[in-house]
Amino acid sequence: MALKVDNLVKRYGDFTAVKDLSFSIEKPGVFALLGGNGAGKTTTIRAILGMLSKESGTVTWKGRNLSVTDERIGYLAEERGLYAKYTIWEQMLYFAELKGMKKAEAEEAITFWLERLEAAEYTKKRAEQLSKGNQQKIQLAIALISDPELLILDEPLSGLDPVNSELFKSIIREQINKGKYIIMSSHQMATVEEFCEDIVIMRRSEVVLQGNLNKIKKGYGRVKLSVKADENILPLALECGLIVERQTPNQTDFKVTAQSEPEQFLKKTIESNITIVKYELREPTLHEIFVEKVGGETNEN
Amino acid sequence: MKTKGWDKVFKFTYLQMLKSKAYKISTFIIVLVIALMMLGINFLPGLLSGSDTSGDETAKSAVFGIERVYISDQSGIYPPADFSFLSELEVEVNMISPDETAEITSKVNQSDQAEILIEITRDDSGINILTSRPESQELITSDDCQSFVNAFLKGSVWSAHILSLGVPEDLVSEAAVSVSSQVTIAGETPKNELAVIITSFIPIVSSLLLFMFIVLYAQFTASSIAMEKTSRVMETLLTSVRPMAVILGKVLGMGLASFTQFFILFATGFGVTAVVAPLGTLGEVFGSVETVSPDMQMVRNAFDEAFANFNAMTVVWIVVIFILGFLFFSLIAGLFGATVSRMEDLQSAMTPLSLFGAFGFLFAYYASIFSIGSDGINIMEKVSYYLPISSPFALPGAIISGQMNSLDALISVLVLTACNIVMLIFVSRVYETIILHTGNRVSLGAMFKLAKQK
Repeated sequence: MALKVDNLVKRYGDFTAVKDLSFSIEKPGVFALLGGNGAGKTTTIRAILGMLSKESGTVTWKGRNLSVTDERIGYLAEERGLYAKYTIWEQMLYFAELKGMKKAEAEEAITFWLERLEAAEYTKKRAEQLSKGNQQKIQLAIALISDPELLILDEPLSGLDPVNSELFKSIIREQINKGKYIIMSSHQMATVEEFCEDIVIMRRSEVVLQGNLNKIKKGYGRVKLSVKADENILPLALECGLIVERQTPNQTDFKVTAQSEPEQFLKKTIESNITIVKYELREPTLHEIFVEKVGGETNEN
Repeated sequence: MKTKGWDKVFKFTYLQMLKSKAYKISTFIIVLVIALMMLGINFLPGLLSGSDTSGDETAKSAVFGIERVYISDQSGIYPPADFSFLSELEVEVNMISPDETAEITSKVNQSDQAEILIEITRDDSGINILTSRPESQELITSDDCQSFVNAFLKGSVWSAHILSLGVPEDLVSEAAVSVSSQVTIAGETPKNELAVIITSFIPIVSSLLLFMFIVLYAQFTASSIAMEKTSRVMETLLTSVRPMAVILGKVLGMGLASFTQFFILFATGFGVTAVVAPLGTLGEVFGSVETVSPDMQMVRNAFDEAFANFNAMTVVWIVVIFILGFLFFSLIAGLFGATVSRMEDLQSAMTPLSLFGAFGFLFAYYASIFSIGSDGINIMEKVSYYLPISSPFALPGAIISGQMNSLDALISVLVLTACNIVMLIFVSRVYETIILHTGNRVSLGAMFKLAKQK
């Protein structure tokens, strides 16, 4: 077991920001820490890294208490921060040396990552002279500079254009292939689904769902039906007991409550001579699971 | 207290501070001001005295611009005072009778020349010299007249008076000798009066310098920490080092930057002095010029006496006090810097420290001022040596001027060290909790509560 978080509790005065959180990362890959705004994800990350003191609970890395000063940990914070007035080279060298790297080793790593992130031309520029996206590249380079075994990415793709998103994704894939442990927190469910095997979903400081994403989906079963047809299918669907979840110009998504419903619906559409363009009986997406688990939060808030 | 990695924060803080434009510009200004000051002190007296003997203009200025003097001696002193020496200074002297006084008075009043009327009279109160000048002040002012009389006439009139009383001529200068008085502690050598004045000013100057280098740089420390926090760099830093390593490295880095500038100030002063002293006044005062005038020898003796206690050990004391003082103020400043989430809140967060610093400095400063001319150490000075907010400003001057012995200095330094330890414990308890705090500024009360909880 690589990372183990056991009964983590963090309070701010009377408010409990993280309530008895436990999870573990057993094998390399991406672990998703999900939740709505204010669910406690960033506090959890900070408490794991020891930036915040915790009221109780333990965080161990390979059997030892996790200490940022003893391990090489890469962290891309949600709120990006660079020294505005210092050059990119100066500050990257500083962060690398803080990670315990020798100067020559650090310089080699900086050169590699700046080239890999297509940011080598900014070496002598001050951070304030860079665009937001380019600053984000530098932040990612800083997180990766010490070749960390544990990488924590808090909203890694937010604010990036599609080209840079692909660049970041390709780097994340490389890290997965290199056997790194990655904790990813993001609101972009499609991205999370693309990379993650295990997830934790938090809602109001508590874990509401956790486990292997595939198993969770299987546990739900094929409870979603997406249909696209040339004619109006709604009367038939409602007749069969299907519940409309979302209707777009492209397709209609239904919630399936009994196994017989989709079969009965398909049979009736054929009998009615309706042309079906798309018929997909599927497990729920992570987005749908997330909305189901966290969805009430916004209203409650 | 986990401080692994503080050395890297320290190195980065120090080097970045040295590279900053503000530091470079302020250092350049300091070097320039000190160099000009030392050059001025060294060469100006020589230039001014050298210019006295050259040219008509300077000869005129030696007699305060006065070209003609009418003297009406009605004092009855016999033999009368001799003013013929004024002719050698190119001042025309006209002795007039009392009958001519009214006419000359009206002539001088309307005169467009640099001429004055002197009337010497005698009554029960003594000998009086009345000077009348032209109505227009363009050529001669009242101050010029008074200075002229003080410089050239008073002495002559007094000598004539003494001679008229029958004192032999060769004893007149002996009779003019002044009587001074001094009080000293039984068994101690009386102090040189000029040395006493110099000694009085050492604590004033040193407290001013130390205030500048300690409190100003402590504020830089706070600003640097607040900037790292508000720009979210702190989160990245904390994935490598603990918060206490950040504050310790930052405080020590800023401290060294401050000390470097402090050192540059003195190095410039000593360097310029060493180079130019043999050519001017500084050499006469500090001994690199062997033969000096009696007046300059008196100044040299005064400086020797005032700085008699300055030695290598004094330098060690100053360095230790500087470090402790800086640590004390910077730890508080760093803590206040960490309480804000927005840079615009920093100034209000720093208000308590600014008040503390200003109070400490003013306390040390006025304690020194009030001690001028007084005997021994007054109670205000004594308190300023042991109060941690004033002792960093007060102690160095007191040690240099010999007002404090080594034992007292040690006790004072131990008090300051103890306060630093308490401050370090307090900061370590609070800093880790507030460093990532966002929202409203953390109040002093909340900080004390946190420290108590921990």
